[in-house]
Amino acid sequence: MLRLLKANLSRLFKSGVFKLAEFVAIGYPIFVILLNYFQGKSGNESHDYISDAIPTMLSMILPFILSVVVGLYVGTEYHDGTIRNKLIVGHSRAKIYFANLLTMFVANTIVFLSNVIVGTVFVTALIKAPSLGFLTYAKAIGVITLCGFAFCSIYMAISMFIQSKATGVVVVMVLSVAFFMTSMTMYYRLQEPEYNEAFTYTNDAGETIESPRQKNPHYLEGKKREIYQKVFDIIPYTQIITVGNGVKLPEKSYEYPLYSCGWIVVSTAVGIIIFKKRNLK
Amino acid sequence: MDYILTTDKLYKSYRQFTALAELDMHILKGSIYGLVGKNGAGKTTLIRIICGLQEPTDGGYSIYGIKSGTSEIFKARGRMGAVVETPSIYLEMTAEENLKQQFDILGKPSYDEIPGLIKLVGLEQNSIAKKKAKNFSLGMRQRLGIAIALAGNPDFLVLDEPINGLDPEGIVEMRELILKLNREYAITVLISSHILDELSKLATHFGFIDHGRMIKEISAEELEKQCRKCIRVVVSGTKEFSQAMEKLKLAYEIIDDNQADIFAEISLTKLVSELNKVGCELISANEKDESLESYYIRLLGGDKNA
Repeated sequence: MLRLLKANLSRLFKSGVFKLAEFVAIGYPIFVILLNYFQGKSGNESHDYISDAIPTMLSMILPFILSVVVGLYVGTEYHDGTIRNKLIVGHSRAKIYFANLLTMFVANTIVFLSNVIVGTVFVTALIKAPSLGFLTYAKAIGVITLCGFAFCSIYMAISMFIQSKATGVVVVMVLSVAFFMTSMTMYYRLQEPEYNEAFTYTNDAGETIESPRQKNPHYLEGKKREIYQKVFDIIPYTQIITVGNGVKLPEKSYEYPLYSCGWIVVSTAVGIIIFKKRNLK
Repeated sequence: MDYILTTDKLYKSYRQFTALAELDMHILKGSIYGLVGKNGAGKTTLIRIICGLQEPTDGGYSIYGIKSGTSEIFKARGRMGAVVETPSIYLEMTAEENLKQQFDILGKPSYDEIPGLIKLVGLEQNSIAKKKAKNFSLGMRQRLGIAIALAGNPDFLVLDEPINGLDPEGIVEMRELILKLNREYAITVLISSHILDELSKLATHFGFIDHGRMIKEISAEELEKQCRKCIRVVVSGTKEFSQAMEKLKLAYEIIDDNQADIFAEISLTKLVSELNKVGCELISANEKDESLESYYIRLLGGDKNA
């Protein structure tokens, strides 16, 4: 499998889409930091808060970037027919699958870490060093990296199933959007307050009316809230939203890596079973 | 007999469609085996199975005596190379980069052999060196595909329709390359093609496949013996000619409204006399050798869609 991995990595580093992903990973934090730096200089508003958010800011768009990288990388193997070269010379399908998956893990790690490193260096130099402790920072990076692996595994299973490059890329991109929408919808449902606060207002007749504190009908309760919370926690995008958004590590930070590992194991198992039975052209 | 590849009642179906039906095939070491069959006969399915791209539904095959379904088959495949349908090349890479990829996949310790391979397939010109494969002509892609297939120094090369879409010059170059690989490098070649005339110039053995079954396997020598000489006649009408042939109980084949082939030795006097009886005029008669194409058509019972 090491031979396949070597060949895959050499192709990855030459690939245009990976170079583009790296450009975004490095360029995005630099752009945001410079923007905040100049805004901070010209106005009275403090932009110091950005120092804790910047290093993990890319995590929000990481699943989209990965969907393109994985979709195109795997899709090229089918489109150009080069997956045949690996099978014909005697590599097993499981080895090919794992080598591709590991390559995407490497891609995810490089893209995300380069973003974190560049972001941290720039924000420290121009604005302020991140105030979070090293351990909290390392944990957040670890959780997001694992989330990235989970996304890679899911995208890989789908891409290895769909033999058309264009269709494969579109499907994984749509899936990443679907994950994002689901997570955001659930996030806002869970953020709904239990009560709508009391307020007073004056009507047209000049009378002051007092509206009492009312129960919010959108507030999730009981079993429904538990289910929502569980599903919310399991979706990898949720973990990225929770952890990446200002590096707020939740109480259940040890559960998140477990969920990611679950996604990796299940999607890889399904992907390998499908790929092994697939009739290739 | 030392066989590189044998198949044993190989069966492959896709839902309701049977692509291969208990196909038996034997490829002798050192031979150039021409696989002949019309569209949908099962040639490419057979090649895909041999190359491990698909699994047979039933039956099996052996490569170098190693049976399919065993873990050793992966090792056996390490000694073969193939170009299945379109050449498997990264279009965004140059010829050298493509070969480096394949060398990495094979785990070769150095890239020293790459210039030799590029030269062997005729892609050594300076103008090609920096060109990405997406800018290659079909012939150049085919040659690069073969170079990749040869990267592992295989003893067995599988080529699926390697001359499809090539210009006449490209066809000649491809033929010479295949012959060179077989004669100078002792590589056994399995080659499928629609262009029977070209195949007849290459193959030492033939396998005729139809509806997923092996109809006949024959060596080029045997084929030559079996290719009957025939008499090509031009007559006033083949309908009347058929009546005369039925009466004489001779094997024949109608070419068009005025032409037919007779596969028998016959006295022209007797033929003319019999044709006269049915009101048919014999305009001309010439002796003609049967080609691989006509042998194939005869074998398949007159189906001309080769």
